[in-house]
Amino acid sequence: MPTLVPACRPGRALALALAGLLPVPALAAPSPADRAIAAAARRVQNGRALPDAYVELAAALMKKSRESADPADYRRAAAALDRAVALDPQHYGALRVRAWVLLGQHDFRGARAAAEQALAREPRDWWNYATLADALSELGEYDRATTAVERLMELRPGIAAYTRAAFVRALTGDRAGAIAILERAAAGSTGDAEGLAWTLVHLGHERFAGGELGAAALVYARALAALPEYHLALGGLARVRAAEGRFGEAIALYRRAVALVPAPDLVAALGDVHAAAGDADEAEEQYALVEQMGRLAAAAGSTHGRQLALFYADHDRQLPEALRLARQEAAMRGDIYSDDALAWALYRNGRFAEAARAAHRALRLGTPDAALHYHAGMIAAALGRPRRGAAHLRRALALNSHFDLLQAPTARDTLAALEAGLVLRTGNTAPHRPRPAADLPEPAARVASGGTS
Amino acid sequence: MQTSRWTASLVAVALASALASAPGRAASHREAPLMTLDPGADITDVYAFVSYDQANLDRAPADRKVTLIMNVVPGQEPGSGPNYFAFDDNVLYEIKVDNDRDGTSSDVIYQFRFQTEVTNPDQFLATLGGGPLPPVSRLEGDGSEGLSRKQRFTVTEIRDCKFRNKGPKCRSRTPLFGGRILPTVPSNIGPRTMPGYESLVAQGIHVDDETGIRVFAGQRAETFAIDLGAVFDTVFLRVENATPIPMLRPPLPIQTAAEDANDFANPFGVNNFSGFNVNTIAIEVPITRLTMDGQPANATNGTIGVWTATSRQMVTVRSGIPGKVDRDRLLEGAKSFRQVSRMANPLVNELIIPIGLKDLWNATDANAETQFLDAYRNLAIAGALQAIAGPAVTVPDPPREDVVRLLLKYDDQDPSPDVGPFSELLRLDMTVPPTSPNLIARLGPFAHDADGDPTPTPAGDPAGFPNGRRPNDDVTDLVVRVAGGPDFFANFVGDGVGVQEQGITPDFPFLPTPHDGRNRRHRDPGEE
Repeated sequence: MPTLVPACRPGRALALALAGLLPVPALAAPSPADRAIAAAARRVQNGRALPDAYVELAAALMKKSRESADPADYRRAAAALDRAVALDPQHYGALRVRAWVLLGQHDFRGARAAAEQALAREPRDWWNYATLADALSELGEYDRATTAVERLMELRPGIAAYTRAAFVRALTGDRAGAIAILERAAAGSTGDAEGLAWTLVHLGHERFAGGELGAAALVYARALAALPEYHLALGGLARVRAAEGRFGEAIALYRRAVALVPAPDLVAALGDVHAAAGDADEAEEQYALVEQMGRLAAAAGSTHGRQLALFYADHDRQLPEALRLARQEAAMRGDIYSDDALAWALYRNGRFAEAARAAHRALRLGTPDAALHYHAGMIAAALGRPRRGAAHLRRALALNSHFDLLQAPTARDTLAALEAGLVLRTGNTAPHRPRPAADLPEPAARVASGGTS
Repeated sequence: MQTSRWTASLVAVALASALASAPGRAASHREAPLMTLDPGADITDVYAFVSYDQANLDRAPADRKVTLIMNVVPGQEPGSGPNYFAFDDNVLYEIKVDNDRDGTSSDVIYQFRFQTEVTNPDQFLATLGGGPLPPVSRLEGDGSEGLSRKQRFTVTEIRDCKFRNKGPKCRSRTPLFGGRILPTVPSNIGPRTMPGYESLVAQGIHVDDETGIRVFAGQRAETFAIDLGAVFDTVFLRVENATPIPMLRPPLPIQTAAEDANDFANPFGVNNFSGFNVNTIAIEVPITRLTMDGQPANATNGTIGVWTATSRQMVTVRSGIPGKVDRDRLLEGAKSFRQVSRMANPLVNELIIPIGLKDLWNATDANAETQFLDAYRNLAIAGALQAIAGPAVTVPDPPREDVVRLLLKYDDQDPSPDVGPFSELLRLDMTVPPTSPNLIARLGPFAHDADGDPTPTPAGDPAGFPNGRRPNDDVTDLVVRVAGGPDFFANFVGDGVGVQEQGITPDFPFLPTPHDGRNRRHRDPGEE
């Protein structure tokens, strides 16, 4: 055989191929996602198997985003997909991964459209039902989302299907079922540290939602054993420690989590622990930091509107901004948690009737979530419906008396006041106007009939 | 408090500057897992061969037995405590045999189910011994105290299945080993915890006197030797470590006949599986139990097709009336398994099936291969090899009917391209006698001497891949050569990895002692 032309000629052109697509290499030992990024980058650099290599790189970056929680990884993934599509406008792999990237960027309508397009191309690919289900549940189309999860389960039972099925169970009031399914998902994902840790964190959240602090702490510890320094598990464990009154430990855990991923909800929770520990100055420092994050987010665009709205409402700060953000989120989404945030922001802004309607929507699935009932209860009380208000508050505290470090005491005080027949006045609203009760069906009654377990 | 306040301010400042560059850092919706690994259900290799242990070599051909192996939980780093590696209790493992050559592999099925008992949940390591507890010397009872979790399994034989719309209907279903629950062999932790690992293995080899079947489930060393990094890099095989041959090497990793005939060295590739372990399910069955007529293997009944599958249970998604807990519905789907992975021939999933179709392919029955025929005919890897080799070397043009015939059809099937059935099975002619371990060649039927001449029988080795597959067959070189065509065979192109350093294991389960967690290492070329 004669001399053959080398297949690979590294050079400027190839360096350009990766420009702007790669994150700064971490100082710590590379994770599986880091290795996947490196492998895909090598394929891109070698110039072979394009555009597949770009799609592979995008998927690896999305995997990385799950560890780093860095939205820049979404942008890099989107850019890699753009390269793939530029080479092959009809590339199927790029389309199915696009739905994933759009979910990360909170473009839920775009994600739904991409998932539906991919589904039309390949109706037997389980992946498309997973991304479609995610988009639909964020948009509040729960029935269609559930059907998509059922199809996903038929095509590929496994951690993706189990975790989504557990979410359906939890939303519709079957927490025991959700826990059983998540345990199964965890048992079957031992080889994927991040997937296992995510599953365990959500198992912990379900335990916490049922007020099982000890069980929740154990599961968060399992998550940390699987993926050390996992910010979601640190935050979960911190919340348990705070609920147990172990403020020092909670503060240390939140600090570790915040140092890894400075998310506003984590910083706010850190402030709450300081407040509960009686250190108002330190709490204020953290709250001010959240507000600073909010200003930066408003300037640059962010996916944290809901967390910020809840923070402002909870802490009686920047109430018009809370309402603006909550409305913006509700318009973008449509899920029960957006309705809940809107209800709470409306309530704090003194718009009780609108708040009641939003709270009613937030409880439309009968979700046994203490925060949803707390908000509904406070709103009902403000509207002069003490019986319903008390029912919701009782339900919230029965579900999880530790649901929120600062709000749970308010729930208890308000309930006591309602039960004592006292007229309720909320801190920052106009004087309460008595109104005839019960012009809406009682959501509490429906849920309370069988939701506890 | 002063110090902590001061630290907190520092953190706040650091945060603020981090935020300035990445506003609103962190994701904030419920991102359930999407792209995840499922090692418990991931089949990494399948082997099917007439057993080559001395006992079977000594048997009369009519009494011989066949070993069928599926390996799962790939790429085990031996030191990965504290829980090490197990089979998945929620996965159905199946080895399936087509014995009437109709491509539908439902004639004999072996099902394996696992169950884990946690005897001491507070123990900080899954396995302890030689310290507070005695070394692990038994799988059950006295001497097994160090095993805080014990995984056991059942084996069921299913025969004569007919596929109907609703699924398979089978005429017989026999729990083997009298329905007993058998212990698996745990991961090889290290010499202090398990000073006599192979004696544990001996306890984990179970013999069913009634049927003459032997089974084993537990950890073994990986024997599949491949330069995975190079092969997955679009078959960009490594030549930089090889002695250059002017005008020829590089770019193509061609070898001299003498280099290729040496089964005792890895000339230039990197064996990415060096030092890794797998979980093995091995079953040895008398040939007469596998043939369609229950007779010893002969020219008409002697060839079987084998494939393996793993399936996971579905769970019911809807919990019924909102707000009403209905626990019973949770396991309504308990009997409904869905296949999530399958394997027969090596490297089909990796090198032939396109990325976008891999999951679908894995969920499909081996006999429904017609829908994937394009991938076999337009072999993408052939194009990649052509690109590397350049114009001087001719890789056969599509459609690659030779590949279709090799992987999807029996020898005596109608060879015309339009005529099926097309079924991706590992085919084994059980009439071919086993080669004794000292004569096993990594290239089996394609073995040759230092001059490139085929090894003459009876010293030759016809009992290897593609006639079934044995643990040490060099399938990577053969697959690359099949894909590349006659020029690749003539130039002995390969990945430069031919052997696994532990060599051939001459006894059931025919895979070497797993690397222990304490002394594990991964060897690159030239390393002792």
